[in-house]
Amino acid sequence: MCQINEEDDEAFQALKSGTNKGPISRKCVSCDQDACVVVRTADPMCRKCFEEFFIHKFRSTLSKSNVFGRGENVLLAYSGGSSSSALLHLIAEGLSVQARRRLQFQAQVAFIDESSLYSDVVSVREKVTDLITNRLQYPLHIVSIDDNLDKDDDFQQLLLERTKTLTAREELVRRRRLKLLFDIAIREKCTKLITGDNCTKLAAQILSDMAQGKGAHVALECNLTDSRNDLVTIVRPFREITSKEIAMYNRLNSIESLQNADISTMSGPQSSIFQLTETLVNDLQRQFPSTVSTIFRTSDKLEKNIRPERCDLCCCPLDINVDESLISDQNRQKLVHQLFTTSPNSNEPVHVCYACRRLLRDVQPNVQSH
Amino acid sequence: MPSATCVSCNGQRPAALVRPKTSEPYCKQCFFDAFEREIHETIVKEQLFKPGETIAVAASGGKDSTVLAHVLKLLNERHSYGLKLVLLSIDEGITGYRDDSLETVKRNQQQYELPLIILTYKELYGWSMDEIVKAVGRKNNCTFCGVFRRQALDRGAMKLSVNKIATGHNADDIAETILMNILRGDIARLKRCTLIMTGDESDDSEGSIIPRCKPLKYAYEKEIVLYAFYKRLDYFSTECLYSPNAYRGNIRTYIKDLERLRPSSIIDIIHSGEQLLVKQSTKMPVQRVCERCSYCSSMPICKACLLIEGLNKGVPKLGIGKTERYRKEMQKKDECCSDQSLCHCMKEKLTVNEHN
Repeated sequence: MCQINEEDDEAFQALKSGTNKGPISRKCVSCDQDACVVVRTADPMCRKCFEEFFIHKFRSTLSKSNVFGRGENVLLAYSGGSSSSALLHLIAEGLSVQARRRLQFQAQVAFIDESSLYSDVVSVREKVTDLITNRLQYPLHIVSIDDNLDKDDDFQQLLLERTKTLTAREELVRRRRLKLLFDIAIREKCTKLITGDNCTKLAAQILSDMAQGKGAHVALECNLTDSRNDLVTIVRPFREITSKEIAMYNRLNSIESLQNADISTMSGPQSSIFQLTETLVNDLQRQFPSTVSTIFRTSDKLEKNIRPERCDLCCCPLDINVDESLISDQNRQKLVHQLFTTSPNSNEPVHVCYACRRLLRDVQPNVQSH
Repeated sequence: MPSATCVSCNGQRPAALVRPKTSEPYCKQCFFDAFEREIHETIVKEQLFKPGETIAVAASGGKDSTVLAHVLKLLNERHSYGLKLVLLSIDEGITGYRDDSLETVKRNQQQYELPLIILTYKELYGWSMDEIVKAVGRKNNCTFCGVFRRQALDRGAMKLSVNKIATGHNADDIAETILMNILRGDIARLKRCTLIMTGDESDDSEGSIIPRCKPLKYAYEKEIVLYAFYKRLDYFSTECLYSPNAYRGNIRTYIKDLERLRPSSIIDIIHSGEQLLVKQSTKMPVQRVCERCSYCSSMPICKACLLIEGLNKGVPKLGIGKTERYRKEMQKKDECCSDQSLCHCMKEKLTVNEHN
């Protein structure tokens, strides 16, 4: 489909002849300097122009819809990965006194520590504390993924022994992490939560969500502002930046990211729905460089679901009838309460969306088995 | 598990297979019953047919359409839908593929005692696929075949004066189409491809064409194969000689991998697709009729007319890729219809007049 008329296309011809020249002789597209990065095959750029382009893209995404109020409390979700490291760097620059058009909010940082899930992993807490508290001097909130759970109700055991598939494990961790971030934000009176989700990751997430029956939430999931929680709005300033651009920015500015283990570490590319989808998107992107942006633009044209009833697991609006969404199994109901709700009354009915219902089928709820 | 018994008849019979949809052991009889019942439920719930209607079953001789024809005939008698069924086949003119599969359709016609009509690309458009491939080459020829077949089915249905066309699209096909439309950014089709019925009163996007429905929308491909296999249905299974279509192949493999990880994935994708709502502000192509052949089109001149024009003028790549400029030129002079020997739309007008 995408190979149509390649031979006839002038741009393609120009490109073909251009690639033979080798990287050294290529000039930046916007100035006469020698290029040092190639974001898209046709557009080599020098360092200065690339950084300008990158920062402009970031700042314009933010200022497009005037998301932040002056002096607003904002929570940054930092995972240690390359995206959130770059995000932290950009925001630190934007908040600094020397910045042109300075950002006007109060930043705090949240780090969800997953190391308790894996037995032989070195905790990265010291590194995170050093970076954020000592160097950047932002208030830091570290919360462990199994925070607030009873001793007999081990999250690690639930994930590794009572959850059947890696897909379900990943999705449980993803929902739990978001829930904890919301909790921190509410506790610290932050009204915005900034995440480092980039375009490439969101494209894979969109397809993976589609494959899990979460189509109703795709529009919400990739929007700049996501209001699934009434108190805290999620903001995604990297939604138009690809992972490749982030990697280049990090390299040029020597921004280090932490090597973290996560639930899918050491598993193959076909071990879960998300892994499989990410592999597909990356493979297609290599052959057809417009793949990611097409997926992204398509979901940008979708309307958000605005039903008032929410799913108790993923906080998204329900996509099935209220009575269909009710969880009848007592043990599953208890499980959802322990992991995902803060309400003290654990007899309240639990409603979940279509995809979370599928997810819970892979989880063995009975705690009292031993 | 040789000792497993069927979950449906409470262990009266030993299980013969594991149902792909539910991963439960079933005996043959219970599987047939469940498969047929689910299709019946879909037909009743979605109100696909009304009593007294004539339905054209689009028959290619492949597994899907053979199972569709078999099940529709069976259910029509069992539940007295009161339908008149006919088989409608399109002969693209692909030697070594379609000629063999049409033999299968002819045998099916005898087995099911249904009337059959075969239309050929050659008589509709003046070109058979073999000739087109000779002119176009191996690349992009699927564009011609796909565009032409869509119109050909409608024309055949009009000739037979049927009320609806039933196609053999299964759940895997629909899931694949949903993902393809996301990857291609085709927002208009993304909205339409999950509908079980298109072109009827509830769907205002298409004008006066014959409604189409997909009774097998919720049937897994694997179950269709199992059903055809155990029922010993006579079907034809060979890939088209001209279809490499690597891009779609990627998505197909992806869906098979997903199904292995979580068998419900296919239904989940369809659920996702049904939940998608398109923003009001999104620009959608306006449906209108082609100025030449009066077939529905989103452009002043439809794709089929454009492709034919290219073929007849010896520039077969005309309708592929960027076509805006050429469409405008065609609209301006429109000399094609004065030359009656070449243009398929004139032929169509003539045949319509004959009928009247």
